Amino acid sequence: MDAFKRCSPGLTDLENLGIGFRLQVAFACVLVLMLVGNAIFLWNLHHVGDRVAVISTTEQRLAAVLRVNNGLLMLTNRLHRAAEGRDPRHFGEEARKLLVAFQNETLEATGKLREMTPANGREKFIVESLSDVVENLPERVATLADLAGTGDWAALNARLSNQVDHTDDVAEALMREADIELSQVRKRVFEDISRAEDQAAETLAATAILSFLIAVVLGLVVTRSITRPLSMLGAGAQALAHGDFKYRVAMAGTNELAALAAVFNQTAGKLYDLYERLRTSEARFRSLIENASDLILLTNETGILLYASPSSYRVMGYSPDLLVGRSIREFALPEEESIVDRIFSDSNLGSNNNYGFELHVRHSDGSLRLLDGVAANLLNNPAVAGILINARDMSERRKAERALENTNEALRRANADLSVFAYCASHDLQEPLRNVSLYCQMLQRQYSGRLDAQADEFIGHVIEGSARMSNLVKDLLTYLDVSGSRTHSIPALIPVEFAITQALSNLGADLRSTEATVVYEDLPAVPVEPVHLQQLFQNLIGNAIKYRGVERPRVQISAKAANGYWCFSVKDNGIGIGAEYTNSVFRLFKRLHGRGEYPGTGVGLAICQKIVERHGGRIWVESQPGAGSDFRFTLPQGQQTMSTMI
Amino acid sequence: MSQGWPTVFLVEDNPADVFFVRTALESEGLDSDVLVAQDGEKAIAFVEAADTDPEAPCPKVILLDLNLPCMNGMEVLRRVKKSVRFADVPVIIVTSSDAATDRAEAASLGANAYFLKPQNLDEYMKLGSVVKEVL
Repeated sequence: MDAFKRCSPGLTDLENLGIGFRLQVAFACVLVLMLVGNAIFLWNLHHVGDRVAVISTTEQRLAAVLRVNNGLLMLTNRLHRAAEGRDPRHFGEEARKLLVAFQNETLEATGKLREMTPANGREKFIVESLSDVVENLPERVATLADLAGTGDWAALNARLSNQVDHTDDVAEALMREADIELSQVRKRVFEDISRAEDQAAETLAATAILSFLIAVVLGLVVTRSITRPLSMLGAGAQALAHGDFKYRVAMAGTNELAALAAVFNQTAGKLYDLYERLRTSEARFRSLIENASDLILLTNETGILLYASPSSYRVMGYSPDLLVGRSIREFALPEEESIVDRIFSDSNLGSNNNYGFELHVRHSDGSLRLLDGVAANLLNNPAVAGILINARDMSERRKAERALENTNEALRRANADLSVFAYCASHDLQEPLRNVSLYCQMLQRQYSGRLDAQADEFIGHVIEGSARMSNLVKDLLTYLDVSGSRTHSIPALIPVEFAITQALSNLGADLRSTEATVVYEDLPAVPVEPVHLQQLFQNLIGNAIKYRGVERPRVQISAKAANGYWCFSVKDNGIGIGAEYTNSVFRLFKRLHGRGEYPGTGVGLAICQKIVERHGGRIWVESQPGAGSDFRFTLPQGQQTMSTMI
Repeated sequence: MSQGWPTVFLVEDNPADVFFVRTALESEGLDSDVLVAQDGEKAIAFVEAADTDPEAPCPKVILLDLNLPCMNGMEVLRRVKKSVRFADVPVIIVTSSDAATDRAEAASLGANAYFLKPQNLDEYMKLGSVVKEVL
């Protein structure tokens, strides 16, 4: 794909890592750096602590020396006061009590003194001297008690004073030592602290700078590894927003953004498919509308045109862009405004039914065009939000229909006139014909043998000719009766066997004279007027007997159902018909034989055809000369019962 | 039967038929002195005159053609059946029309017989016996 974007190789590895993992690594790096800085700082503090511990030990030692020294001074003072009483026994008791009290009070301090490691030789001497004093104290107190016992109070006091001085000196020296030592230690501590401060500041600064640098680098790398795909996704989104559904974000890997990109591509693909389908469908429907011969209009609820199909040019003489924005009322006739009102009436717009109408519109050439249309209210359909009008220009068709109606009417009138004329003509022909025939018969009756033989023969010819013509006219009347009589309702079902019985009764004499047999069974009932049904079978059976062969005539009648019709067969064993005549045999006045062979008018089968076709059926014949004829015809099965007939 | 008055009142415009009806009546030995009206109006005029004049002649049978000039035979039959003096006189329709509707209408209007004018002379002569039956 041309829109494919390649990432730099260095970032590709990183981009394979998850974003969450990348961020975790970055934060961990910063955290480790801070911990290292803190450790260095704490290590420096620990060094300072050691110095402080030295100070504390020295101070504790000093306190212990002072306490022991004070205890000695107080002991000496109390012993002085005890010596003032000059009572050796009292002094002895008092001295022992004071010694025990001193030992109790200074027990902890002396213990400390013994535990301590002196810092130098001098200090060692001081501590050892003081320890000696304390250790030798019971012995000295015993010596003092002995002196008291001897009553040498002066020596006793001198010893006490000497002892105090000695102890003071030791303590003083110790304090001096301690002061010197403390000031040295303090100095070192300050140096250590300030050094630690400096180190801490340096460490912190270094840590901060390093952290910052690492954070910047990590941030840049991580951000770049995130923002690059994000910007690619953004570009993809932009492309989608601008309708480029073919755009794909090229991002490999397994991280979250790559997954997002895959989803994005999938979505874009689906959108593209949808868009293509929509575009195809839109194009299809648009071409349906734009190529429709019908006029398709979309209006708002007041009749202002929002859309017109290109066929508007043909139907109304205006191209669509000239129609949009104009009201449909502009093109309607003033006297048909009510029709337009109805299309846009509240009741019509309120319903969802399609409203059919016929409306004349004024073509741009000034002519009127009749539109046969349907208005569908699609105002509630957000995709259309209008009234859809589908109309067809009926002007030409209506003109043609009117012409056809007029032609039909003229034809109907002509047919009716012809029917009346033919009926009257036939009827009026009968009258003089009968007169001629009757008068000739009268001549025959009264003058037969009295004229010459030829005259008798002539009279016979006249009678025969008029009889034939009379039959012709009678058949013609029947034919006209069949074609002229109109039934508006479907006739009741008539059992065919009933009609055949009637026909056979009328043909009785011929049947008997020819010894003909007519067989039939299980025939249905059909919706045909009884007189016509009887006529149909009478003519067909009559023909079968008339055109019989050498054998005794035999007629077989059967019927079977086919596609809503009954197909009848009237089959005989007569002389048959040549294939070339099987169609023309049904024509009016068509005769295949000379009058001498077979009498007839040539109307019988024409009547049969008329009856069958009047009921929507068809008649034909299957025959071969010498092999009999099978007259077939169809009649509708019908729905009614024959209860009213019987 | 009033003396001197014809027995048969024939409403017929065709002289040939008048001749053959007479011949048929004669062949049965009936009175061939027939009063003929040549169209429907004349026939009705005769009926109306008879109604107003008790002395006017009244036939024993009416032979009526249907296909008449000026007025249809059915109209004549209808008028006859409304007449005071002619209502009970038997009517025989003598016509060349074989239409079922004509037969039915004639019967419903009270015609006594329906005779189809035949082609054959012998058949025509049978009209005499039909007239004899209704007399």
